Amino acid sequence: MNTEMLFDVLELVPENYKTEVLNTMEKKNTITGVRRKKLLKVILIAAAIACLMSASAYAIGNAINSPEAAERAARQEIETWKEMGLLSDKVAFIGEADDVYEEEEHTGDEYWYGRIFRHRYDVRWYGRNGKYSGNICVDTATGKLYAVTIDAKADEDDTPVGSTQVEQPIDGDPEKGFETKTWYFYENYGDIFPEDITVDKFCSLLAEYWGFSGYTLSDTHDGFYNEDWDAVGGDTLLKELPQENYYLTIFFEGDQSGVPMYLQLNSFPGCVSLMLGTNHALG
Amino acid sequence: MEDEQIIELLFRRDETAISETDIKYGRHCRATAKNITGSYEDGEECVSDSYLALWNTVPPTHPMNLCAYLTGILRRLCLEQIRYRCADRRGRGEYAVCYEELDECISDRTDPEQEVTFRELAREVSRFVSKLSADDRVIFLSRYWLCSPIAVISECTGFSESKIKSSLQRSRSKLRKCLVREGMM
Repeated sequence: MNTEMLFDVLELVPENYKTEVLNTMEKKNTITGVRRKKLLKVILIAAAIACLMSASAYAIGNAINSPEAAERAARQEIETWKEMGLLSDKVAFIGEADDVYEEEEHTGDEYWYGRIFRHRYDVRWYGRNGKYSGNICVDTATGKLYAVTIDAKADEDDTPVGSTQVEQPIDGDPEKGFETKTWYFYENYGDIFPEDITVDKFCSLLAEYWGFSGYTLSDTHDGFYNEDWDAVGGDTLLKELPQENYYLTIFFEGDQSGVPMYLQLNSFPGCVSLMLGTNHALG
Repeated sequence: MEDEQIIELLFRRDETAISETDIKYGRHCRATAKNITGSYEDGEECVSDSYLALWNTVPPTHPMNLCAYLTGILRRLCLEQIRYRCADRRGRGEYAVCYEELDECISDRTDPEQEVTFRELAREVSRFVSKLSADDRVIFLSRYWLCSPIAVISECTGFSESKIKSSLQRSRSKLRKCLVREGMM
């Protein structure tokens, strides 16, 4: 027996013990002193704003009160983003949404990465029949988008920038044997947003959409999620964020929660992805 | 997306399963891989390989817990990479520190002539882990299964770092006694 063997056998401990550990490490469910005060402040501010929003929503009626309304709002706001120049004119979700999930407002126990999301709908297209797939999250009080993931498949005439070989069961059945397939990676970000848009321009447009007065680009350093990125210059082209999985943090001026927005690009086999979001729809 | 939906996509050989897996578990995987390997680049390579392994093994496997299954694959890949590429087989990450801790616990009582099968050791270690208190077990496995830094374990559990260190010391001592009693050391 040696120490390496000891590490290896830990893989065989009962599954429920591993689940126990993963659940603990996933949730930051115990908060100490200073962070508790900060969280309480965020919760109180969010609650106060939620009350104001609810009051105004009560007065005028909730903007979004059904999955059908959420899907209409998602489509409408995507068109708004295209008109504003945030998204490429090519972005289009074909057919009805594949799923629309209603998500209740987070409580303090569901605190995630500093955000406490309000009541919202998550409208999803899985891209089975089209070039685009996405999660388009709609705030029910205002009808605005507050978090967006859009994937765009590469076209057949797009040139890949990399590839990897994978083994797959033939016809999805391992008993038929395996075949080698090649996964290709692309940089067709121009299918999602204008190729010449800079980070500054993109953030300015988001600030305008959300009603904030300005923004600040920030480093991202998070020990738990292991994000360790310096902020880019605002004149960087959005499509040229330094590296895949690069995570950009943005603080919006006028955002009363003080919670940062995130922006990230990813490249997956056959497609690219833009992910961004905040927890506020209004300044 | 729920785990069952991701697994369904894998069974249907829908490549969006990989992007959905990354959306849901990407940060956890990258953090775990960086902790073990000590390098973001090396960890990233292992994360990509773990997605590939997930694609290649599901189906026929149907994981009961997707996160635990994926983490197991990732952990094995990270350890393999360290042992293959690093001269000392420990690397520069948290794994090297965890290795030292466990190595001190057992190395002076290990007889290279004594053969202990993997299965026997696995049985004893599982038994040992099941007898720990819930808190000590979470701390022990967070440290030696996930190779999480003590500061991160402290942040996630709410326990002070000194309490965690004490818990780990006690658990290592119990492990040592357990292995000696079973004749493995």
